Amino acid sequence: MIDSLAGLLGLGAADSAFWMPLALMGVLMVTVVAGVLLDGFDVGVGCLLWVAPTSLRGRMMSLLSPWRDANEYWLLLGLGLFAAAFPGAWSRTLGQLYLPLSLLAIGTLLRSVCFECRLRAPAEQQGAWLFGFALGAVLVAFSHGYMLARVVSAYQDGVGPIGFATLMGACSLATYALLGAAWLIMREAGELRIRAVGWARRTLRWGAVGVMGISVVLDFSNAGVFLKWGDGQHWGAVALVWGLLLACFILAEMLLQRMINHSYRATAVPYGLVLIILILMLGGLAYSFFPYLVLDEVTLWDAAASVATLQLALSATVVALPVAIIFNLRVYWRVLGRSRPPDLPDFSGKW
Amino acid sequence: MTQTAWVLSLSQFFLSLGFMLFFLALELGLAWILFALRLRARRGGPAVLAYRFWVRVFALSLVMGFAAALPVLLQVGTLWPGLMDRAGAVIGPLAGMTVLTAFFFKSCFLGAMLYGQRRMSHTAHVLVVGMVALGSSLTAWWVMVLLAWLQWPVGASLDDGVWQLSGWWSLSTEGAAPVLFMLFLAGSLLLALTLMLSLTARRTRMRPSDEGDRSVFMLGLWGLPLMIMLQVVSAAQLGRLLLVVQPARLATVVSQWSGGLPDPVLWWSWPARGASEVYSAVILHDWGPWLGIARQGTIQGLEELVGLAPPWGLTFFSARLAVVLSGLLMVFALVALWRGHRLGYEPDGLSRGQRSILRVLLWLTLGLQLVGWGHLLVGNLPYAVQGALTLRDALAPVGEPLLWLVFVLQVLVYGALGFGFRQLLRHASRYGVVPVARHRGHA
Repeated sequence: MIDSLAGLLGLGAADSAFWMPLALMGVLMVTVVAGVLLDGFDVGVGCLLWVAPTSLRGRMMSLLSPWRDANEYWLLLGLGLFAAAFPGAWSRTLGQLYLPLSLLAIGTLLRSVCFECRLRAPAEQQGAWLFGFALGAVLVAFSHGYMLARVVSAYQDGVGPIGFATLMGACSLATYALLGAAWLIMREAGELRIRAVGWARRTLRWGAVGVMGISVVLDFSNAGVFLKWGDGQHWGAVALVWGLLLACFILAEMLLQRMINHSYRATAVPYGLVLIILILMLGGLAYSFFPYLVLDEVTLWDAAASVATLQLALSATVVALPVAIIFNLRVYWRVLGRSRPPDLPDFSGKW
Repeated sequence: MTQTAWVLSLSQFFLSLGFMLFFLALELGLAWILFALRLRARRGGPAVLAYRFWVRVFALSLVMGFAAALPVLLQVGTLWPGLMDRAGAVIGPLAGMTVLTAFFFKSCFLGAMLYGQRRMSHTAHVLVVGMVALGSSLTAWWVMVLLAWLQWPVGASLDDGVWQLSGWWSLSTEGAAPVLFMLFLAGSLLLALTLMLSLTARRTRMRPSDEGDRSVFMLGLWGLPLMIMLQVVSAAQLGRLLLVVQPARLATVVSQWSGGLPDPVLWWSWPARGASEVYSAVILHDWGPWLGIARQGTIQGLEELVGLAPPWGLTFFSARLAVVLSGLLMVFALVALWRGHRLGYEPDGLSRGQRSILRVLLWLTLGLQLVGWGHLLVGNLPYAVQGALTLRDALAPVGEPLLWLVFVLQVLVYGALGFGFRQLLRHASRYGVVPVARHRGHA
């Protein structure tokens, strides 16, 4: 497949103008997936703050605290890489997404600033910062869905596409809330877990609506994508993907029901299932779009920067990758399972 | 595209850029001052107290500055998509390098600096603080290279309407970048020092000063005149560089309407055609040689630059206001130094009036940075990339209602965040800082 793609472009597979954009797109995809998965529960917990009782909000925020340093970074890193490696796609993608990206920018700003300021604020001001954080989370979650819907409907204007985008924004809000709730079920016992099970149950079906909506609209609005999924060549893989998605949703629903009725065993499973759903969806999107950045118009090779710039971007990535991996492994080491309380600091006389 | 849409887009972009630059500057200035304090606190002593207080203010401003970078980057794509189409080869890598540098230094050193102090030796911690300061400077450096390139595009060749990068070295050293960076560094230190002085004055009004307050007070009083001088020198140097390559800015600042030999500079006049109404008698002759114009002979006038000149009033007055504010700042700084010296650098002895002088210093500095950067950015209009690409050509076709919506939202959010930052500072100056611990993986 690689050779045939290279042949279509008139380049050799070993040509740096061919493989460098491909490699950088791979790194970019990893950043996006990591951002959605690792920052996702953070956004979700932020959205859930709106419905959580006041007594639990402080605990929810403190559960997020260890991952903030790393979570803030994914979007910025992805954007920096996108700017350096694919400047040709900016006006065709970012230039079309004024509203959702503005909301995303404001939401992200609010989230980062309000979280840290709340930690450092006196008790009487903390409520205001918490409000800012929760507002930012909702803006980010909504804008993700809205943006994705605009991208898959090829930026068409009109009542239909905008309505669809708004619906998808709401569904993405629910999906993030589901991710956050599933993470909370795993992290913490007691009242928070009971409530989180309830939140997860209410949001699960809306998450399913979102996944279905995006897939169906993408499939039926673009002939190329429809052919990719429906021409019968890879029917096994297609059936597997859809079967897995369905199984994950049903299993999650059953598990949550069981948690209400019987027991709290296997509390990490709903979170794992939601992660699988999200990975499948992002993978499916990547497969549908590849090799296009704007469907049928701009391929990733059209949008790529010159070879010299790509070389620079690639070498910078190679330098940054070990740092990123070590840093993230360090930070996210205990992100799964029950939360552990911090150890007492060592007061051995140093200042 | 209407005039309103254009102004709204510009305001949005300048608002987020200004917010980012302000906190970036505060962070950069505090980073180097903290390094100096930490160096002096190797064996304990008064600087320890000052370090402990100010490192938390640093952390706050770092959070703000870092988070404010994302809206700027996104707006380059959403408001000015044409910019990346044509100058992507320059802007993209520079933006990427900024992000990467910030990421690298933040993930390697910042956590150790803020939360890991107990777990390392004094020398190691001094080194870590130094690396954080270096990282902040490098991050700011890439931003300044980018901004300087927009003012004076060197190091890239225009090929069929699209820029191609010809060399990193010439991009970063041949243009205005080094001078702009010096200017930014001086401004950052100025901002940090005046904030420290003003907050120290406030703190010691509420409770007796400690050793840390005294060391900060002395550092601030002596550092201030030096930084003002550095900023004035680098601003003058930047003027010498940019006025030659930006004929429209030159004509506006000099207020020359018809082309030809350079007119005498009017220090203060009203936007009227011709030089008949002059409200000031101070006229500077023979400024041409300073810019090396005497040899070239003539300069362009505003009449020849219709549609390609920056807004007259803003550019003209901001240049003069910056000069006036610098002078005022210097006078106030010298007065503060004199009084402080007489008091033996003991902030407890400050009178009400002297404390307000220190407060005024902060507001003057804020005003100066606002006016100075305003002049730099507005004077480059209507160009995005000086002389080659106007911002109007790069503008996205967004409807006015949407622009209004986002603009109002942005003003509300940025206003609230700025206000909240001020509240946190006020609270810290009254009751001390709130210590924050972060336990890796534990909550």
